[in-house]
Amino acid sequence: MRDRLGGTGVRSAGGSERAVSTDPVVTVSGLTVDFETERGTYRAVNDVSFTIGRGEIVGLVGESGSGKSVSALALLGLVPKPGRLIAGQALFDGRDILAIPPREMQALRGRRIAYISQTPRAALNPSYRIGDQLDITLRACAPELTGTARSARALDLLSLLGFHEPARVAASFPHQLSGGMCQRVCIAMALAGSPDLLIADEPTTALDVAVQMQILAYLYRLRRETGVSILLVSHDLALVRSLADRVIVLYGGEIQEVGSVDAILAKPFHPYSQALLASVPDPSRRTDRLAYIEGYPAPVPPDATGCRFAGRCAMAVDRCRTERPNLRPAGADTRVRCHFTDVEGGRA
Amino acid sequence: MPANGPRGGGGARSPGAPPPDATDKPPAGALSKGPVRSGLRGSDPDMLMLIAKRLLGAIPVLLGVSFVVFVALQLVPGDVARFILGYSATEENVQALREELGLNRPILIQYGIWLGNVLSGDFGRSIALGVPVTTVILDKIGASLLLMAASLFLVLAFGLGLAAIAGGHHRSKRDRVVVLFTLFCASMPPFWLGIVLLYVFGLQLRMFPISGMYDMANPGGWPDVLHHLVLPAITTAVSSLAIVTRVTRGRMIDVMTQPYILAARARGLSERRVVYLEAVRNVLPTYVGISGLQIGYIFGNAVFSEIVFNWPGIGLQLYQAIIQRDFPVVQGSVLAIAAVFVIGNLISDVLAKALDPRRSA
Repeated sequence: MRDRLGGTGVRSAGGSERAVSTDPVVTVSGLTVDFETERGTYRAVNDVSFTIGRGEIVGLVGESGSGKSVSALALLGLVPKPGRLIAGQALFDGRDILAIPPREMQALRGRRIAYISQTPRAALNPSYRIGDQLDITLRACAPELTGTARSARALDLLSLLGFHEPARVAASFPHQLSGGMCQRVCIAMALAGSPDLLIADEPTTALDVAVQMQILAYLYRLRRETGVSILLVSHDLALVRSLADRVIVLYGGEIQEVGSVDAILAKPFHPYSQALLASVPDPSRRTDRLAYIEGYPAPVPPDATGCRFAGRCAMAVDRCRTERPNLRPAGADTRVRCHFTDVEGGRA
Repeated sequence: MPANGPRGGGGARSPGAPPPDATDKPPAGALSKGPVRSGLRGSDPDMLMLIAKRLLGAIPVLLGVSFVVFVALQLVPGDVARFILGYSATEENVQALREELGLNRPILIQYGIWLGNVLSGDFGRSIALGVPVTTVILDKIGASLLLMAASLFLVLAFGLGLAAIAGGHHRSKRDRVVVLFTLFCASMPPFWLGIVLLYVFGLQLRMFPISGMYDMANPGGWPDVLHHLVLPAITTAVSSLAIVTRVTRGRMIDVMTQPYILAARARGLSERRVVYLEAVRNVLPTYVGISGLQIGYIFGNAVFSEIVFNWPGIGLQLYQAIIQRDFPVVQGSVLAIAAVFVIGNLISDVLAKALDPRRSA
């Protein structure tokens, strides 16, 4: 199926070809993760529910500490220490992958659910050649292949990611490659199985702008030509806008707003989404000051009440600090967690 | 995740351009000679340079060691000539022997003469045995090297194994057991441990011989030697084993937190492959380096176990030479030990460098 990856061109700016089936590849409900540190227990992810459709690209947006990486890693069964899964269900292939035995989860990783990280070079073992690492991965993800078939497949995967001299890349160590090349190698490894879901955790953060676009182009082509669903974790709204079909805005471990990328980025309801969007610099307007959100996200204890954003929200009233708002419909296909969606006909 | 804000909107909005060909080439120069091969290759100029540098550096080390020992021997109480001739000898005879042995000359002159002889291959004659020192050393160093090799083997094999098991599963039950075991090993002085092993496994359980290298009544070739080797080798190895295990385990714990370990898990590798294939490979430079440093300690501990187990090696010879004031043998033995130490460290340095693919020039 990866032979179809040969074409060129990614989605044009308009994004007309969003042929996404409604059949979900994964349905997450009530995902809750606590971090048990020496200074107390904090809730990193609270009651997060979402679905990802087959072939859909979902952006998971939020600033550092919003719980987006933890949510993503939870889907791999790899909640980082000292995190602990408190509650939640993630239906994948009719099974709850948060509850299955570790051995079965390991069989899904790489083969059905793949992962690429924000630090491509660090995600590659510094002591092994690229070819050897691909071989190790293929051994785990495609055990039916024999030795020679594996090496041929490894070179194929590298060619698919645009390497014109795959043998030379395979014989290299990670430190001999550029960051962009490392990320392409990581994507090649992610394709070693036949993933239905690719979790991309800030895949372009460590790369320069030209290479970012190249990686995005590969991800977009990958979705179009293999039908893989992508969970795109990012703090970069521009990246999400250019790639995703739907956006989930995460703050304080809770979903604040969820909806189609066009709706949310054109007309965000939640004050946090608005502030996040406003802080994207607009190159067409010269200003002396960049907009930003005052303060930092604070760690939240498990029994916190009120809106997670209340402490930094310009519109916050007393009710916001005491009563947790529910996620409510606030438009055609948007849901928002804000008390102000009641007033003014759902517009904050 | 870095806290920098969202990037300029214009950049990534239309990722339409196909990947530029230029980025396909590795960074300039990186692959110009083809990928670097890890492992020892005679043609690697960096490696030859390292070896040459280290060999040059060994010269002052050996000079310094021999000089310090030479001076230290002058401080040992008692007169050599008197010791040789016995306490009934007349003062004139003692003085005559002092003159004959050159003991009345200044220390620096004595050292210069000894050094000149050593450089021409003459280490002098043993005062007690009357044979050339080289003969004594060559006679004994084989047994010592065998004991050292056996101890080093125990340190290398169990050190890496225990470190991988413990560090790969940090804070697990097996990790705690290994840490406790290394604490126990590190706390054992070799002379005491040797006597305990000798008593328990030699005298009480009668599993192993308690002395020497061969069964005198019924010598049985290599199996016999190995049988004799077990207890002295363990005695020599334990404290170094503790250090190698501790240091390698620490590095292992560090490696297990690296992003490539998470990435390996995410690629569906079994935990066994993650620990023993992905992680262990990256502790090898540390492990080889710390093991090389242990060669000196192993030789030091070997002196104790050679004495306890009457192992006919250079350590036992050195001990006897010191007791007998046989200074030429002491000097020669110390120089031989220092040479083994320097060569061992050189080998481990070269290996550690070869094991790190990112090694610099």
